[in-house]
Order: sequence, then structure tokens, then C-alpha cells
Amino acid sequence: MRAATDPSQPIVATRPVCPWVATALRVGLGAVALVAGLAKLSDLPESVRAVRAYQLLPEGLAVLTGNALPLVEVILGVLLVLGLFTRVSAAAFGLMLVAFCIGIGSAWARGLAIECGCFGGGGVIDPANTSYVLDLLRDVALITVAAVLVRRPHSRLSLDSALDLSL
Amino acid sequence: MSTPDRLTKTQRRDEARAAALKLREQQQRTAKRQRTIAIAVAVGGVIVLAVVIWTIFAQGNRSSLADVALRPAGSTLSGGIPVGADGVAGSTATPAAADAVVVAVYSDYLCPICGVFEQTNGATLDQLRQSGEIVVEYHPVSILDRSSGGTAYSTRSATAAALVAAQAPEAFVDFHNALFTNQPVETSDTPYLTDAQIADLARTAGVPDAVAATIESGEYLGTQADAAGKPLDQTYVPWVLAATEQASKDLGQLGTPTIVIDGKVLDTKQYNWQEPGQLAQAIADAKG
Repeated sequence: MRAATDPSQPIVATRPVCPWVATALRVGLGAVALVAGLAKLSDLPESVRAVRAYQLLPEGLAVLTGNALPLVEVILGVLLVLGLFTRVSAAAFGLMLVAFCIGIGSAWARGLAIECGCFGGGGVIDPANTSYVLDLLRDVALITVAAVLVRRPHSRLSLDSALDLSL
Repeated sequence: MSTPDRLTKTQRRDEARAAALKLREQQQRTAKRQRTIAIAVAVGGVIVLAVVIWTIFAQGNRSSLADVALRPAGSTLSGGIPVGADGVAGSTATPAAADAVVVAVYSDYLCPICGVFEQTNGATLDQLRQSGEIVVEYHPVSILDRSSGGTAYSTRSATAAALVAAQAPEAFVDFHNALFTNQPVETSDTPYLTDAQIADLARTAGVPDAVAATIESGEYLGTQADAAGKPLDQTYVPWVLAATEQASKDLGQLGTPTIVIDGKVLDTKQYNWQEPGQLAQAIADAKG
């Protein structure tokens, strides 16, 4: 049975729908990372202020994070959209999302009234306008997508398969 | 017993072929893994290098207030424009009582609640300042450019305020108030004040025409930097950006308006400044 299938892509033969689903998830996740990164890239001081508003990191690290995060998001977004090193990219973005969840949850728990700053913006807002639940739900959904991609990184229209990389 | 002996020639050939195939597969797998690692190292290296260079560049791009070439005279290194009893911005001889309370007000000219703050407490602050009881430190910051429909209104208005503080300091308070009285609404479909409109407000506040003209022409933003051969740091834009960054650093959470009385951020739960009299109470309590 097994012998009949291509040993490098066992899933393709048995469940031909899967790689296309993985493609959709991969491009979707990558697009989110790309949009989030580009939105912040246009105003780095704002990105730094958004990180500061969480009051979690010491000044030096907050500045570093605010400056580097947008570019890292853009790069991971590009890698995911292209499907290059899908497993590692999805894992990295997933871990970042876990960190974001911790940040948002902690801001909520400490009673801060800030905007998540996930897609630009950020900083102090009216306590009535906070959207911690929505932000967390969105991030958990994205983490799920990332986890699926880590388990099943093989997808159609990816550089991984074009370059025949071992994942 | 001796099974190999009983293998036919064909069987033996098949076995050898299978072994060779297996070996080749293994070699191919190893080659594939090596190729993957090589590509990963190359791509990873480029990415790490890009992030490092980017971050170093971004870190170096931030200048502290002390490094800003053009600062309004008398402004503090925390980005404040102090005004004392005589109503002149940054006046070093600010006449105020020795025990005058310093009230710092951080505001963005686009922030609606800052407008409410000015409406509720502007007169109180002016009065206490004129009597020499307090020194008001105005901190114009720019954090709402994103919400100004691509017109960068926050930065433009704060830069105009800094320019007036520097070149027409006696008109600063009136200009500051005028910017709030004529505050545009923070939505995307409202027309934000043009440079010409800001210049008109400045003229009405008593800013000399020569200064107002540089606002009207956009020169105050350095937009004519090339034509006039004037470098960008001859404007107050870098000061506004550095002052905003400093405010964010000092306050941790830069929201507007933030009121700091003698170095202590006003607790709005204790003193709700939206109720008339509360701010005066907080100032009186700070005085002790």
C-alpha cells in the first residue's frame, strides 16, 4: 500500500485535498503577518510607543522590540506566502503570537487600557474601547493555523516543494 | 540450512538491485538534507543580517531632545514649553512664586479629550498661572497622525506651536487655545486644517505676519528645504518627534491628555478633571 505512494509526500497520495488546504492556511497566515508588519513599518516611533504601553519590557528592550518587530513580521509573512521553510516560519510566527497573547492577557489582567497595536496604532485608549477578548480570540485562531502548518507543512504552490526541500 | 545457496541467480540479482536502490535513496535523502541546510543557512543569514542592520539603523535614527539642533528657546529637555505669569513661552525670567507648582499638560492638538480638557480647565490654568501660583508646561506631542486622513495634522499643528513658541512666544498661549477651539474632528472624512488655516489662527492670536507666512507656505515643515537649500533640521519637526518620544519614555504610557503636577501624574480617578474645580483641587493639594 505504502509502496504505491511517493515516499516523500505520503499525504498527497492518500489525502489529495490536504496540500491545498495547507496552501490556503499558509497564504492566509502569511498575509496577516505581512499586513501587520507593513502597518507598523510606516511609523516606527509609534511601534515603539505601542510596545512601551504594555509596560512589560525594560526601556532598552521595548525600543528594540518596537523597531525590529515590524520587519520580522514582514519577513515571516513573505516566507509564509512564498512557502519557503513553511514549518520553521509557521513555528516562529506561532511563538510570536503566543508572546502577543501573553502581553495582551497581562495588560488586561493589570487593568491597563491600551490598544493592542497589532496592526499599527497602539497606546492608551478609553477603557470602554479596549478589545482584549477579540484580540485574544484572533490570536488564538492564528496560533491554531500556525500549529496545523507545523504539523502539515507540505502545501501546493510553495517554494518548499519547488526547491524540493526536506521539511 | 544454507539459504543463500538455494537462491537462484535472478533472486540474487534482485536483492543486489534492491540494496543498490536503497543506498541510492539514502544518498539522495542526505543530498536533499544537505541542500536544504545550505539554503536555510543562506536565507537565514540574509534575514538575520537584514534585521540587525535595520535595527541598528532604526536605533541610530532616534535623536534625543538634547541632540535636536533647533529647540524652542526656553523649552525643557523633557519637551515642555513653560509659561509663567507673564504669558510668554519659555521666558527664562518667568515671574512666578518660588513655590509655584509646575503643571505639565501633554496633549495632541487632534485629540478630542484634550479639547475637552482645555475647554474645562483652560481658564483655570490661565488664571492660576497669571497669579503666579503655577507654571504651565505645555507638551505638544504628535501621536495621532494616523487618524488625520493622511494630512499629518498632529505633527503639523505641534510643529506650528513649537514655531510660535520660538518666534512669537508672547502669542503662544493664545495660539495654543485657538488650535483647540478650532480643533478638527478625529475622523477620516472631515477636512483637517490646512497650513493656510493654521496660519490664519496664528495671525489672529497675534503672531507676526512674517512668522505666520512660513506656516502658510509650508516652510515650517521644511517642505521647501530643497528650493531654499534649507536643511530639514532647520524646522521644529525633529523637535516635535523627539519631544513625543521623550514624553513616551518619561510617562511609559503616553496617552493624551496626561497632566503631571510637580512630577506626579494626575490620578484621574482621584481628581476627575472633567468636573470643574477638580484640577484646581489637585493643584492646591499638591501645594500642600
